[in-house]
Amino acid sequence: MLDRVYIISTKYINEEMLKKTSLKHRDSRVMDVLSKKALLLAREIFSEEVSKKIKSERQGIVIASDTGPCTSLWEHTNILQTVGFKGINPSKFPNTMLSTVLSRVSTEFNLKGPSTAMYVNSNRSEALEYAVVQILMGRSDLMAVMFIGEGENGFGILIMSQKFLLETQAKVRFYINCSNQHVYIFEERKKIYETSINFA
Amino acid sequence: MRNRENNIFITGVGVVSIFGNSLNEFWTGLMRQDNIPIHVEYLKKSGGENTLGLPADMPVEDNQPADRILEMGEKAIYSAIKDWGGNLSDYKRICLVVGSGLGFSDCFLFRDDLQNNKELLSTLGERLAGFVDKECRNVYIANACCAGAQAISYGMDLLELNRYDLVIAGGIDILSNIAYSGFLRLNSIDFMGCRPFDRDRKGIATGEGAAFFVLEKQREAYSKKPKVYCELVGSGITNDAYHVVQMKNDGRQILRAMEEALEASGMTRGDIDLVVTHGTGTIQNDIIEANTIETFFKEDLINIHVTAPKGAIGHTGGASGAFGLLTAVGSICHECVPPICNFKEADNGFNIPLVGRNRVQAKVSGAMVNTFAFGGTNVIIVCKNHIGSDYVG
Repeated sequence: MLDRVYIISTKYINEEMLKKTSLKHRDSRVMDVLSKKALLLAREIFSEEVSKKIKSERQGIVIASDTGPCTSLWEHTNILQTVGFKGINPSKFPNTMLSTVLSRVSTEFNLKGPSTAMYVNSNRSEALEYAVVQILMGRSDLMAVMFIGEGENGFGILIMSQKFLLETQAKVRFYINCSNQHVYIFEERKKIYETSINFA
Repeated sequence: MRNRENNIFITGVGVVSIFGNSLNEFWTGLMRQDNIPIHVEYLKKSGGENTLGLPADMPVEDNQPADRILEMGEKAIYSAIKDWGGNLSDYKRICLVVGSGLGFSDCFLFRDDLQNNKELLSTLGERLAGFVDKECRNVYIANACCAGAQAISYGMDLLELNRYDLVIAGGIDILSNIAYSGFLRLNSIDFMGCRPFDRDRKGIATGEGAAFFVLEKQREAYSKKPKVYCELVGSGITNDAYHVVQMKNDGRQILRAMEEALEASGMTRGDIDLVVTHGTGTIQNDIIEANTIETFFKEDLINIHVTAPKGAIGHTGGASGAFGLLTAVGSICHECVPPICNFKEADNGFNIPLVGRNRVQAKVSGAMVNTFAFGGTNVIIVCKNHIGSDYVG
């Protein structure tokens, strides 16, 4: 059994970068702040050359958020209370769901592998674990994990299967060891991070 | 796709549904027909005059959305654990995998302070996990309508990779003003009730409920508790990568998810007797799903029965995949395929063996459960009859 996955890259965006960058997208008029943030972060993550060598069916994504689309929910409910359902913009209604953020990213980067949107709070390792499990189960060779919320910075990790690493001979510095019911992140041979996954 | 080395069993079922709060009550309700939505006062906050829905069997008007979803989840999770009958303290590593499309979203209608409490939405998982055990870990999947099915699929994976000893997985969603108003605006609600695959179908009927399953690997299932409802043998997850709300017409990614699930199960198309469809009753989605089933099964269609529970229970949002699996479990245990409520005449374009208005007495050995979501995710689960099950319906 393959028990390792490899971290290809980590990317980060902050509020300042968001303000400086204008998102060019045909639907940007109806997108909410969470979708825009996710797309900008995804564009950073998928700029990696290695992602272009993998079939779209073998690429997946996990969108993890602690806040979800709060602003969209707030706007939607305000319209309901003041105008009623007739005031709802049908193109903006999907923004009330976290799956819309997922759809924006998967559509732009043609990610047809396993994908999910999940809520995380203090312990964000569940999202990383989901991605690792998809690779270990053989559903995917490349998974992007994106942590995004409203009013905070965004962070993304791109991980890859051992099989594909051998095929591409890509250079990686960090790997995640998933054996023994734990998830460890290693830099070369030195363990640098250990999650609390499965320490119940 | 990795071949599964472990058999994953459903050894406990907990449900809160429109028909009652046990598998038998749910099953009896499914067998009745023509379930038309009723007026739900709570949905008045959507600002529409028509406030029709299919509420679960618990008081609907009195409580706030957060209380309601927690009460519903508590009932379903407790009854799953009670039905399972084991002792949680015998297990060290327990995980609750919750699937909910909207979760606490409706709280925004009732509380003005939520702009400063942005973490509220993410707390549903841990609050529900508190009903299981204080040490229970939780994963909260919020992938729209397929959240429940994806939670169950992920629960299977976690057991397969030996990351937990016991997994409780399922889906939950309550009647939501946010969803209802959005679907009203999209003209996707059928006020005559949901009529999946019917010629005159016009859209969904909003429903609610919770369905949770206790999942165990073979070793634990046999040694601790012999009651086994069925075996979960495969799942497939793909994404259309096409549109925010529309399914892709060619159904290619759905076909791929079906193939993935069947390959993982080690079964063949001929081993499947039942397809529990997503069957939302919307015009386009039913066409795509019917065509996909026809393309996938080809000549094996002759041995298959196709049903759609949403005619009876409405669209339960993130719980719909869990209710699809519950329908498959009922069919396996009762050796009967439930009718499609509100169904009168099949659309001319459909060449799939819909059960229509009549239940079909048939032994179900293998079942496929389809779930699709806003955002393009397709989740397919394959389950099979466990020979030697001592389930007594």
